[in-house]
This record gives sequence, C-alpha cells and structure tokens, in this order.
Amino acid sequence: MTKNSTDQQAQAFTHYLLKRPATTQALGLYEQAINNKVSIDKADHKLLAYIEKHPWSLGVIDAGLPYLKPYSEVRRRLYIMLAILEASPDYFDAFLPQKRSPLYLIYIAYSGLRAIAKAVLGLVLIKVVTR
Amino acid sequence: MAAQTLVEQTAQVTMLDVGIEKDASAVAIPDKDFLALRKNDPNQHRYFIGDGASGVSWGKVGKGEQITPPRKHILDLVEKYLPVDSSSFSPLESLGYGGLGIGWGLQCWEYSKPDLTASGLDSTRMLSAYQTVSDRIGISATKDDANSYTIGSLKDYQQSPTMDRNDQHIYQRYLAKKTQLNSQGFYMGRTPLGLITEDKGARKKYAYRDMDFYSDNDQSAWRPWITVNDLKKKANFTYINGYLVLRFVEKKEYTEIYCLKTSDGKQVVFRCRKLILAAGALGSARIVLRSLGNEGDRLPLLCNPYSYMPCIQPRFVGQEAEQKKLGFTQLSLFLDADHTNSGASVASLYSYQSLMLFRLIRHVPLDFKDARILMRYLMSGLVIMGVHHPDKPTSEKYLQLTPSKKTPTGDLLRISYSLNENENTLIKSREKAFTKAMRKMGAYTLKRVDPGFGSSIHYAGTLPFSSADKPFRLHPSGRLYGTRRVYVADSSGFNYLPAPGLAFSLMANAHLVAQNVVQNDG
Repeated sequence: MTKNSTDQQAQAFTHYLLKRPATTQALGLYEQAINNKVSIDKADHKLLAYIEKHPWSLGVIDAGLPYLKPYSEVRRRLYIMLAILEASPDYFDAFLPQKRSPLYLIYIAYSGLRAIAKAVLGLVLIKVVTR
Repeated sequence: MAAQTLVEQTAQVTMLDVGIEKDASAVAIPDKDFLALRKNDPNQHRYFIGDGASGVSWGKVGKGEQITPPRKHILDLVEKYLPVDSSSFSPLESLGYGGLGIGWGLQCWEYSKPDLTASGLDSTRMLSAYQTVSDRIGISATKDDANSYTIGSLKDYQQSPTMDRNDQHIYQRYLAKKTQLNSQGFYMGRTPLGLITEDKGARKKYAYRDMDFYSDNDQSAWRPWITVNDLKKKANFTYINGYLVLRFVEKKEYTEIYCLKTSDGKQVVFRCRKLILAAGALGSARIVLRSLGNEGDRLPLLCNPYSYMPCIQPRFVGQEAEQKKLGFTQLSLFLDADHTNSGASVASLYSYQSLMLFRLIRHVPLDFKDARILMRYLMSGLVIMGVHHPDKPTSEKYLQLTPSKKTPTGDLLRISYSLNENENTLIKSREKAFTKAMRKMGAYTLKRVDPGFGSSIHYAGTLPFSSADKPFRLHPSGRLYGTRRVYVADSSGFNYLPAPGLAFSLMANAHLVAQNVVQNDG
C-alpha cells in the first residue's frame, strides 16, 4: 500500500472508531504497523475495496465479521488502529473509564441494540460483497 | 536460588545460560503512574503496544497474552532452540535473562504438608527453605483466613499492599458470608507476593504506579535477574551467557557439558566437578534425554490445568479509572471441599486496568466501535478469575525427544497431554462451584476462556523423585540416578503438582538441592 492509501485508511478507521481525525503520529504508527508482510485473501481484498468505495459500510462490515470471519484482515487492521489510538495521549479520554450516571445504561443499551442491528446487516452485506 | 546458596557456601559457581536481555534500544519507561503516562507521554505506544504495534496480538487466545512489549524478550529464540511438536500442548518457555521470572506473577504460596509429601518433597526441610527464600526475595503477605493455604508457617514477611476497590469489596463480601463459604470448602485470603512494601537494600517499596506489567524500575517485584545481578558481583560466581546447554557426559573426575553457542551455532564443551540442571521441567528433560536416553524414551509431564473467567462487579461499572490499581493478584480463593488442605484448586483474582482496553475488546463479538463503548463502561467493574487445578501423572501426559534435521539442536520435543473423564468432570464441577462462590461475593462470571493445555506455565514431574534407583528419576536429594554428580534443582522432580503456583516451592527446593550438593561434596 502507498503512504497515501494507508493514511486514508487510517483516517477512515479513526473517524469510524472515535469520530475524530487521526493525528500525524497515529498515521505514522499505522503505516509502520500495516506495512508488514501479511497475505490478504480474496474475500478480504473485496471487503477492503468495498469499504474504500463505500465508507458508510465500515461499521456494518465490522459488525458482521465476528460471526463470519473473526480473524479477517479488515478486523485486524481496525484492531491495530484501535490499539494505536488507545496508546496515545491524544485520545486517552476515549478509552479510560469515566464516572457515569446510572442513566448511562440507556446509552449502553442503545449501543448494544445498534451493534446487533449492524451485525445482522453486516452478515448480509459481507455475503453479497464477497460472493 | 541454587546458585545463591552455593555462592553463600563459598563454592565456585559458574552459571551457563542463553540469557537474552532486553533490547538496548528499548524505550525507558518514566517513573510515573499508568494514568499520568496515558494522559501525557507521547512515547507510550512504544511500551504499551510496541514498535510497529508488535505487542498487539491477533488470532486465537493463547498463552502469554499478558506479555507486554518491554518483556517480549522472554520469548526470543525459543522457537528456534526449544522447538515443540504438539497438537495438544502449547508450553511457554524462555531463554531470557531471568527466564520465565521476567514476567512472573509473583505468587508465593507455600504448599501444605500433605501436598509437599504428595509432591515428593521433604515437608520439614521445605518449611525452613521457604523462610530462607522469603528472606532473600522479600515477600508481602497477611495473616488471615486462608493462612494454611497461603503462607503456612512463614514467619517473617512484609505487609501486603493495600487492595484496590474491586478486591476490597470482594473480600468484604467474603467475610460477610464466611461461614457459609467455609462450610462449602472455600477459603479466601491475601495472596503472598514476591513484592516488597518496605524498602529492602537497593530495592524500593512498591509505589502503586499500576505499571506492573511493564516496568521493574524500582525492583519492588523480585525477578530472578535481580539475584543474578547481585551474584555477578561475587568473586566466586561466573556468569556465562550465549550458550544453550544441550547435554552432559559424566566422566570419572569431571562432567563435560556440551553447549551450542547461539551467536555462531558452534558447539563448545565446558567442564565442571558437579552439575546442577535448573532449566525448568521441560528444559532439564531435554538435556537428560539427550544425555542418557534413547530414541523413543518417554518422560511423564505435569501441568496445572488452567482457565480464566472474566467477572463483572455491577456496583463498580461506570466508575472512573482508579489511581492505585494493582496489576498483581491480590486475593486467592481456595476450594478445598474435603477440608484436608490437600488437592485444593485455587482461583486468583485480578483487577483490570493497565493491560488496556484493546486486549478486552478483541474478545467481544461486536463491532469495535460499540465494543469500545461497552467495555470502557464495564472495565472498572471487571475482575479476572484465573483458576488452577492440581495435576497427577497419567499415561496420557508425557513428552519425548524426536530427531529432527531442521532444528539447530537436532531434535524437537514431542508432547502429548490430555485429561481423562474423571479429571474433566472434577474440573468442570469445581469451576462451577467457583462461579457460584463469586456470585455470592458480588462478581458475576461472563464467560469461560480456555487458553489450552500448557497455558498455566506451570510444568513439573518430568524426572520424578523416587526412592528406587531408576532411569530418569531423581534421588530425594535431587541427584539424577545413573549419575554421581548431576543434580536437578527445578520442578522436574515433583511427583504431583498442587494447584497453587509452583514458583516459591521450586525455589525452596532449589535451595535444598544446592545444600545437598555441598553436603555431598568430597
């Protein structure tokens, strides 16, 4: 992958995960981490290409993959980006636990339901994209 | 430990070791606490996730998940020089400077007298040896309900570190339901740790930085390399690294030690008057098989079956990060249904914070975006219960060396390990009992994770103690039968492997074997 395309991917992943831009450091770390020799199968190639063309699909595909292909290269890259963001002083507030009111449970329940809905859609979409 | 005993007895001691050290270019970890580093250090990625995110594991859960980038050298060259062939057993070994102790969890339980006897260890001498080791390394412990399972007869020790909020609450709930839990065979107490809470020599007391998985800056946690560093200052101790011991040949007046020099693959021969093997149960087994065995010879193997269960304490979810969190286990819960202090299983309880959120998130079958939100909320209420069970020898647990042209040593270790139906049934029922007990203490199990056989990283019994002179057996003194001057000072001799971690016991045994070596001199 070129630097430009890994930067674009890193930005897309960061925006998806945290709704924030990736810092220069995060972009550099992602490029370092990804440019290793991992072979990508056809299905993952198709998924990555689809995600690049249709950024809205990232969350849905991410949600479906744990059930169809848990160790997918798509998930691995997202996971690496997640770890990079967590190990950065620029995003600590998105990862360290915070005191929440009991009403926060409502948001947790909503996130859970959202995740299930995305997973159902993801199962369908992944099968369509990778056929 | 054996080396220290010998040096103190003025013996001339040489230690041969591969002894891989941490990369000199590794980033220094600042002396700050976990939360301060997370908020401020722009280089934190280097020790939290490693350069190139090398510390970010992907794929199925395996052993050593908690080995962080600053301690990754624990695994260097192991695949090359200690190859294992097994579909049923995945051990973790180390050629690092300080061995597996580099990442040891510090638990220092004494075995009970019945367990010592079952293991083939002299209970009277071992109790004295435990105190010697404790005085050397510094142990913090508490006199409490579970004393007979934890510190036993230990007299001199420092005070346990203060528990964090998760463990404090569990312990209070235990005390409130003590009578009921004790009647069911459950006993809970503070875990004795090789961790000092008062300064000891140049080592500083524990500073509650919650960097336990990453840093040994203050040396408050005892690691074997601390002792080797001290021994190197002694005139009668020589440390030679870069050599993998392959085998020995006992001659009339001396013993030859054949080694592989790891820098260039050349074979080098050393000589000694007496040889003590302390390469771990698997490592010592390899050396002995190469030296005295024939192809096809099998040795028994013991390994504590292990699983872990993340649990949730609902009253602590949605709380802020805790400044003085501990990465080490603070509480031990023993299940001794027969009340005989023999054959108990043990659960170690760990709070969770400094191993980061990403390690938790990958186990959640949700999209990463929502998994982060959920696990961040739950993390403050998360307790990991790691359960170990005792192990006895059976015909289904063994190892053997097989020739291989593809390895630098010319062989590889084939291991077969499985549990029979009775063992599986017992383990399942005990784990169910632990889950129920934890519920009574306000912690609810989310799932059971089985990292596979070998993941306890507790290995023993490959050269069992025996009163009869038999091949591949140890005299109670630690001397290898069939030799006059070769001793084994690790857990190879244990005839039975109690559930509480074996580190303290194998160190105590090592001290005794060294004493035996000196006494049998001449």
